[in-house]
Amino acid sequence: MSKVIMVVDDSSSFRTVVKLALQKAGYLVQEAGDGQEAIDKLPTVKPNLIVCDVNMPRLDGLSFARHVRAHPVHKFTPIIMLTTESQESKKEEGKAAGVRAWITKPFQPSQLVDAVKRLCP
Amino acid sequence: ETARLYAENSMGELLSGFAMLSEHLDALASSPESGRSVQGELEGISVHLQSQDRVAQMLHAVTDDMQRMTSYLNGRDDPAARVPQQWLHRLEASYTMEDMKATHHNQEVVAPPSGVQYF
Repeated sequence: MSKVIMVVDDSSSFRTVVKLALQKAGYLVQEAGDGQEAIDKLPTVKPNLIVCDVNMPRLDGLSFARHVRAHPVHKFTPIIMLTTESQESKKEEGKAAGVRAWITKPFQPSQLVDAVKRLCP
Repeated sequence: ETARLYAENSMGELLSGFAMLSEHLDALASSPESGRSVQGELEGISVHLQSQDRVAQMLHAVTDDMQRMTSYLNGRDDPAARVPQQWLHRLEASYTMEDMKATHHNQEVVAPPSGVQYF
C-alpha cells in the first residue's frame, strides 16, 4: 500500500510542484493550505509523513509541528520543513518543535524524495 | 492584488501543463538516456518555479511595507513612521530569507545552503 504524504503550504502552485515529485516516486499526496487546515484534515488523511512550509496564514508551520508532536495519534509522524527560511535560529526552533528535516528552497525534487524515503521507509 | 491573482492563475495553468507533460514523458520513456535528460529538464523547471516563489515572498514583504506607508500618509497613525530606524527594524523583522537581511544591511548576499539538514 502506498504511503500517504500530507503537503502543507499556502501556495497552491508550490503544492503542485511537490505533489508531482512525490507522486512520481509512488506516494499518495494530500494537500492543505495552512496549518489549521492540516490539523482539521489529520484525522481523515492519517499521513505517514508531513511536508510543511513555515510561513503560512492562520497557523504557521512550526506551531503546526508542535501540535502534531502533542497529538496522541500523530506524535511520531515525521515532519519535513520545506521553506525559504534559512536562518539558523529558525532551524533550531524547528528542531525544538520536533521537525525531523529542514530543506531550504530552492531544492531539487530528488532531494525531497530522498528525504521522504529516509524518514518514511 | 489583481496582478497577484492573475500570476497565481497563470502559474496554476502552467503547472497543469507541467503535470500532463510529466505523465506523457513517463509513457515515452523508451530511451533511458533521453528519459534522464528530460528528467533533468523537469527538475530544472521545478527549481525555477521555486525561485519565483522566493521572489513572490520578497515582493510581498515590500508591498506590505508600502501599504503601511500609504496608510500612514492617508492618516492612519503609525508610531514607527516617526522613527525611521524603528520602521526599518519592523521591515527587517518581516524578512524570512537571509539574503533579504543581507541586502537590507548592504552586505554581500550569500547563497542559502542547499540540501537537506536532518535533526
